[in-house]
Amino acid sequence: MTAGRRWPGIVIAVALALAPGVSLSGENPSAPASGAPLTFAIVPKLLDNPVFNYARVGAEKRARQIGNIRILWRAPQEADAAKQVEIIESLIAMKVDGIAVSCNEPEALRGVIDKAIAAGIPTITFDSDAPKSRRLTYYGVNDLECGRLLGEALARETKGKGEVAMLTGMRGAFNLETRMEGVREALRRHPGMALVQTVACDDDTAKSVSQIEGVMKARPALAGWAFVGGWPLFARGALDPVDAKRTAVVSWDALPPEWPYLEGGKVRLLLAQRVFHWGVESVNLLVAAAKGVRLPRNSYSGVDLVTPGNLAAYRRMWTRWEDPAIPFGRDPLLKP
Amino acid sequence: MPARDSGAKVRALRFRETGIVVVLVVMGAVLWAVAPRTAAGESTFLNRENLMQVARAFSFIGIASVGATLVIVSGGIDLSVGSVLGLTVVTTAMALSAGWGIVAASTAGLIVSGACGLVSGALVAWGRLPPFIVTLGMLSIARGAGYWLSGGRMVSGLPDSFVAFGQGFLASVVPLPVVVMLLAMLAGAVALRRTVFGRAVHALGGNEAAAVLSGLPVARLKLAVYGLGGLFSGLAGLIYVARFGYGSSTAGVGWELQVISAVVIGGTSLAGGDGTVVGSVLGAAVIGVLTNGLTLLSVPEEYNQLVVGCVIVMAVLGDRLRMPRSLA
Repeated sequence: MTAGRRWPGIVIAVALALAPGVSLSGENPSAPASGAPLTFAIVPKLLDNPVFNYARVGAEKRARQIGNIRILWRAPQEADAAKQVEIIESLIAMKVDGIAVSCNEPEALRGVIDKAIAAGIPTITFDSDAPKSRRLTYYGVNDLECGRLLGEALARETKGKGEVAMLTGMRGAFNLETRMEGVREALRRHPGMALVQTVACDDDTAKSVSQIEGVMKARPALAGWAFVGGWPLFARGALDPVDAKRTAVVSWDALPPEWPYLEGGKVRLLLAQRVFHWGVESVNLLVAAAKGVRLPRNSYSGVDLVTPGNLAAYRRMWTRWEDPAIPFGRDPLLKP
Repeated sequence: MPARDSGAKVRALRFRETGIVVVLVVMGAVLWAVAPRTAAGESTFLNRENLMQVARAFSFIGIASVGATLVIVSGGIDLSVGSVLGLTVVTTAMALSAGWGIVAASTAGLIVSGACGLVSGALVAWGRLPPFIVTLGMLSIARGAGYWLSGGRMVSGLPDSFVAFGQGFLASVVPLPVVVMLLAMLAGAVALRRTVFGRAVHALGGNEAAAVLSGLPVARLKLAVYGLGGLFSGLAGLIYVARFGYGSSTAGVGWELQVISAVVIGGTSLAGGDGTVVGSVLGAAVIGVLTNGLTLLSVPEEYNQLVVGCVIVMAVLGDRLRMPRSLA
C-alpha cells in the first residue's frame, strides 16, 4: 500500500477545498495508482439533463488523471427520488467504494444515504444536498447565498429601482425554492424594488419562452428579470420581447447556448455553477474519503459571475475543462 | 339506420366544435375584460401581437394533436408523442450541426418519427398488444434513444436559415409555425372527414369487431394511423428546432398529456370512433390561451396548475352538457 505516501498531497488538497472558491482539481493529477481499482458511483438527479453531462465529463477525465478509478454513472431517466433510492440500494449491495449523489428530494434520499454510510461506503452529495443525512460532505453552491448574489446583481443592474419578475422551473424543487428565497431576501434590502410576478415553467424551455412573452406584454415597463435556472436562454430569440435598454436580465447557469445573450447585451450577468467540477470534486473528495481523510461539513464551490466583459475568459476556461487532454487546473472564480 | 346515424353524427360533430369555440370566446371575453391594459388603453390580451405569440406557443401541441386525434378516433392512444417529438428534435438538430442541408436533416427527423409510429402501429396491429402499453414503451424507448444519440448534450449553433423559418412570419403577421399548424390541421381534417381512409378510421374506432367483419383492412389502418401520429409529432419537433434554434433530448417532456388534453377538450371521445381534428387544435388553443391568461393576470404560480386543471375539466364538462345524452 502506498496510501501513506499519498497522504500529504491529499491533506493539502482537502485543505485547499475548504477555502471557498479554490478548486483543488489538478492537484497531484498523476498520483501513482496501485492496488485494486476504486469504484465510485455518481448518481445525478437524472440522465437527461445537459448540466450533468458536463459533470460526467469532469468525473471521467479526473478519474483518468488519477488512475485506477472506475466511474459508474447511474441515474433515473427522469428526475425521480424513488428511483434514486433504488439505484443507491443496488450500489450498496454492490459494495462500491464511494457514492456521490445529487438529490432530487433531500428527505426522500436521507434514509438510503444513511444506510450507505452505515454500510461503510463513503457517501457525499453534490449539486443538491440532503443536509439532514449523514453524508460526509456536500460539494456545490450554497443556493441561498447564490440566490442573494443573483438578487444583488439584479439590484445593481436596475440601480435599485423598479418592478422585477422572476422565473423558476418546477414548483417545489428544493434547490430552486432556496435560490428564489435568496433572490427575495436580496430584493427586500432595496426598498425601491418590487418583485411583482413569479412564473414557473416546469423546466420546459418552450413554456418559459411563452411566459416571458406574456409577462412582457402585461408589463412592458418591467425593470428586470431574475431567472433561477437557464431554461429560456437555451433557445434562440427567447428575449426578443425584452428591450435590453429598459429591462435588465440576470440568470443562473452559463452553458454555451446562453453565451450569445451576453454578447448581444440581452443578458447582463450569468451566475455559473462549476458543473464540470461536480464530477471532478466528487472524485477528489471520494478519493480522500476512501483514504480516511475527515471531510469538511460543506465544500462550497463558489460561482463564476460571467458578464459581457469577462465572457472571453470564461470561454477559455470552459474550453480547457472540456478538452480531455488538458488536466484540471486551479481556476480562480470570475468576478464581474 | 346507417344513413340516420351518419347524419346525426355530422350534426354532432359540428355541434362539438361550436361548443369549444364558445368556450374559447368566453375565455377571450373574460381575459379581455380583466387582463391589464396598456397606457394607451389597449387590452394586453386582445391584440394581434399577443394572439399571434399565443398561437405560436401552442402550435407544437396543435400540430402533434392532429396525429393524436387520428389515433384516438381509431380507438387507440399514443403516449409517446412527447418523446417522439424529442427524438426528432435531437435527430434534426444533430444532422444540421453535422452540416446536413435543411431538407436532408428535416427528412431524417421525419423518417425517425414516422418509424417510431410504424413500430408502435405494427405492435398494436399484428402483435395485438394494447396501445397503452406499446406506446408507453415507445415513450421510454424514444426518450432513451434521444439521450443516447445526443449523449445528453444540447445542440446549439444551428444554421440561421433554418431558425429564420421558425422565427419568421407570413406577411409579417402570422408566425410560420402557426401557418404549418393550420396546414397540418387542414390536411388532417380533410383526411379524417372527407376520405375513405377517414371513414374507415371512424368505423374502426366505433366498433372494431364490426370493422373486421365488414372487411376493412384493420391491421393496415392501425399501422397507418400510428405512423401518421409519429409523423405529426415529428413535424412538431422540426418546428420546435426551427423556433428555438437548439436541440435537446429533453424537448417535449410530458407533452403527451397536453396533447391528449387538447384532443379531449376538442371533443374527441377517448373511447374512439368520434372526434375532429379542428376540435383538437381548438383544444390546444384553449390550453394556450389559459397559460397566457394566467401569466397576463399574474396569477400566483402556487395556484397555476390548480386553475389549469379546473378550467380543463370545466371546458370538457361544459362541452359535454351541450351534447345529446346518447353521444356523451
